[in-house]
Amino acid sequence: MKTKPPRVRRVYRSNLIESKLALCGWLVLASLVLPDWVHAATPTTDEIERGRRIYQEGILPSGAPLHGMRSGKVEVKGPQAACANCHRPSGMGSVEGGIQVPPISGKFLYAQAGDMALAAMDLRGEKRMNQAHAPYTDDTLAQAIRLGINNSGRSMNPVMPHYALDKPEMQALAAYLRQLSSQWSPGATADTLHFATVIAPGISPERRKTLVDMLTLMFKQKNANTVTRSGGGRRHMVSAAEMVLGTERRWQLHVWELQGAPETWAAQLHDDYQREPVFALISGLSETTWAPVHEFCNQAQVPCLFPSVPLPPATESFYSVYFSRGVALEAGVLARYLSGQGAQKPQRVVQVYHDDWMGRGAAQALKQAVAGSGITVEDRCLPDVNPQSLQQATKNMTGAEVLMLWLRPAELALLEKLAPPSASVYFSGELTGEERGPFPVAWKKHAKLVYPYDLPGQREDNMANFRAWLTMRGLAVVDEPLQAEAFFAVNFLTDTVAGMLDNLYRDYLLETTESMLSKAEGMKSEQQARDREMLGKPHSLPTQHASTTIYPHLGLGPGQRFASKGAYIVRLGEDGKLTAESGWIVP
Amino acid sequence: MKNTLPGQTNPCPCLLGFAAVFICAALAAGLCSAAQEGGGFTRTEAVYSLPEVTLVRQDGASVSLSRELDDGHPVMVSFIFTSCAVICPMLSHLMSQVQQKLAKGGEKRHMVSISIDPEQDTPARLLEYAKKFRAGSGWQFYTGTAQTSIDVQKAFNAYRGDKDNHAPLIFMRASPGKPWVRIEGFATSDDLLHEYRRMIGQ
Ligand code: HEC
Repeated sequence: MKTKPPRVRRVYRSNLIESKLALCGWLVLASLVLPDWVHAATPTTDEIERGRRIYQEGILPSGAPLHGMRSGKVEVKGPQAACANCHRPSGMGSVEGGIQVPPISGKFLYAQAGDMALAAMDLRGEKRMNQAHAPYTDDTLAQAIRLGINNSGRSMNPVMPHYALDKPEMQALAAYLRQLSSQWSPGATADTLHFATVIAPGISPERRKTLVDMLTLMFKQKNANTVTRSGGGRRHMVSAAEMVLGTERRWQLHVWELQGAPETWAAQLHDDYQREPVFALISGLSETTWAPVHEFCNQAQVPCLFPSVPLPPATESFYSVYFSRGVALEAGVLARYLSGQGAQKPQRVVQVYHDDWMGRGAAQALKQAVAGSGITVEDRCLPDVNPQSLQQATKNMTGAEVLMLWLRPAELALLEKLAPPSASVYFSGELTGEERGPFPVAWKKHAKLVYPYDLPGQREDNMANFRAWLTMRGLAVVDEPLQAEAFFAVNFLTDTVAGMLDNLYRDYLLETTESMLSKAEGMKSEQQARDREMLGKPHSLPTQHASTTIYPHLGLGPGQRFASKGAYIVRLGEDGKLTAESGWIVP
Repeated sequence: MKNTLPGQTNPCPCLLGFAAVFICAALAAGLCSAAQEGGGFTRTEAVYSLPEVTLVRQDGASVSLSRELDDGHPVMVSFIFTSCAVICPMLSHLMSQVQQKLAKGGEKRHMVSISIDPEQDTPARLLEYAKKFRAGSGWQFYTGTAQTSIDVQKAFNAYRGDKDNHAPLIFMRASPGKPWVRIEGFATSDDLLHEYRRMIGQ
C-alpha cells in the first residue's frame, strides 16, 4: 500500500442526515433521525488512533503484528492482515470476482433501516448493492471479527479472516470504524461538488486556454444534465441508482493558477485550498515539475486525478493518479528497446537536453534505465538551447550510435539549419507534441519517436467520439494529447462519481478510480477480442466501449497509480506517416 | 438478507413515501443483490488446448508456456496479480502451503503462477511476490503481453474480462496429455493435496 499520512477524524453529525431533512422539507427534531452510532460514548483520539493502526496497518496497540486465520489454517499477519486490504482505506469495501467485501464504516455497520446506507458493489455488468443488515452491536461485531459469524448468524466466506482480538483492541477498532467515512469529505455538499484544476506557470496562453475551455465546457455540459436534490436541470444520462437515490450534484470548477518558483507553490496551493476546500483536483497542466502539487495532495489528502504533466514524481502517493510516468516511462521503453537489439545493440547513447528540471529528470531516467545493459550513456546538457549549442551537441557521432534528443516543440524548430548526424536519432513523443511537432523535414526522414500513444489506425477509432464532440462544440483539435486527456479525465470522473452514489469520501474516490478504470479497460479488451474474432469486419460492432483516450490501454489496481505502462518505438518518415518499429514495450 | 431499501421506523413520513418508490425502482432496475457466496469448492475435469505462446519468467527469461508446463511431471497452475488484495493472496498462501507439505515428503513440486495483470507485473514485481510467499525452486511466476495473458486465461476457461472479476481457480494435471483437474472456490491446502494425490493415483 502507498504511504499515507495518519489521520484522525472527529465524530460529528453527518451532512447526510441534514440533507435528508432538507429533502423531506419537514421539521423533525434532529435527534430523532440521528442514528444510534453517532450517540455512542465519545472515544478518545488515542483510542481511535489505536483502531486506525489495526485497521489500516495491521499493527496491534502493543506494537505486535495483527494476526488473522483464514480458511481454517492459513495465517496472515501484519500489513497483509490489515482490514484495509479488503475493506479498503475508506471502509467502503470492494468487489473481486464473485466476492463482495462489504462496507464496514460506522454508517454501514450500524445503519438502521431507513438510513439509506447504500453502496454500489459491482460497477461492471450486473449491478448490485451492499446488503442491508440489522445494526451491529459491540457483541455481534466481536463475533464477526473473532469467529467469522455475521449478525444474521451466518458463517461468512472463508476469505474474511478470524482475528483473536481482546476487548480493548475490539473497542479501539469499533471506535475507529464508527468515525471512518462518517461525513462527506470537504468540497461536497448536498447538491454541489467542488473541483479545481491546477495550472503551473510558464504555460503558453494558448495551451492554458485550450485546457480551460475544454474543462469549462465539459463541466457546463455535465451540469446541464444534472438534477440535484434542490431541483433544476434536466434529467439525462444518469445511472439508474443515481436516479433512484437522487445523489446527483452540480459540479463547480475552480481554476488555480500558480505563479513564481516551485518552492512557493505549496503556500499558494494551501491558500487556494483555504479559500475553497475542493473535493479533488482534476486534470491540470505543467510543463515542468509537478512535485509540489503531488506533495500538497498527499498532505491535504485531496485526490489529484489525471493531470497532463511530463514527469510525475517517482514516489507514488495514495492521492495522485497519473496517465503514465511520462518521460521516465519513455526512457525505460527506449532502454528496453535498445538493449534488446542483439547484435545491433548500440555501444553508446548520446542524450541532449536542456539544463532544466524536465531535461535533467528525463536524462537521469534514461541513465538509470540503461545501467547494466552494456550501453554507455553520454550526457550533453545544454544551459542554453540554440542552433550553435545544438550543433555542438549533435556532432561526432557514428552511424552505429544513438542520439536521443529530449527537445520540446520550440527547440525542435531550431534544428532547421542543422544536418542530422548519421547516428539513429530518437525524440520523445510526449515532449515534441508527437508526430504533429514542428520537425524539420531533413530530420523527419531519420527520426524515430518513443511513442506512448496508440498507433494511428486504432487511435482514429478511439478518438472518433472525442473528435465528434469537439466538432459539435465548434472546438478545433489544437493539441490532441492535452485535449483528449482532459476529455477523458472529466468523463471518467463523471462515471466514477456516479458510481459512488452518496458516499462522497475522498479515499473512496481513489478506490473507485482504481477499480472503475480496470473494469472499463476490461470491457474494452473484451470488445477488442470480439472484434478480432470477427476479423475482416472489425467495425461491424458497436464501439461505445472503445477507449476515448490516446493510450492503447489504461488500467489500475489496488495501489497502482500510473494507468498506461508502455510505449511503441515508431519511425516518423518524410511524409509524417508513422510506422511502428516495435510492438508495445512495457519496461 | 436482501438489500431492502428504507422502511420501518423512519420518523420522517415523506421518506417512507420515497422509500416505497425506491424499492420498486431499485428492483426494476435490477439493483438488488443475490446472496453472498459461501465457502467450499467444486472439482471438474477438462481437456484444454493451450496456445503456443511465449511468457516471461520472474528471472526475466523468455520461455514457451508448453515447455514450462510439460516437464513430464504433475503440475499445478494458478492465475494471480501482485496488487490483488482479496483472492490471490489466499490462492498463493494455499500454493505455498501445498509446496511446503510436498517438500516435507520429499516429493517433486512443480507450480506455475501466471499474472493476469502482466503490464503491471514486471519480472521484478513477480520476484518480490514469489519471495513474499516463500516460493521455492519448483514454483515459477510468469508475465507477458496483455494479449498473451488473455489467450492463456481463455485456454483455461478462466478469462472473465478484467482482473477484478477473476475467480478463485487452481488447475492441476498429472502429466502432458492428461486432463486438467479444475478446482474452483475455496479449498484448504489439505483439500488440494488430497485432490493432487488422487490425480496422480497415490
Ligand atoms: C482478505 C480479505 C478481508 C480482510 C483482510 C478482512 N475482511 Fe472483513 N470481510 C471480508 C469479506 C469477503 C466479508 C464478507 C463475508 C461474507 O459475508 O460471507 C467480510 C465481512 C466482514 C464483516 C461483516 C460485515 C457485514 O456486512 O455483515 C465485518 C464486520 C468485517 N468483515 C470486519 C473486518 C475487520 C474489522 C477486519 C480487520 C480486522 C477485516 N474484516 C478484514 C474480507 C476481509
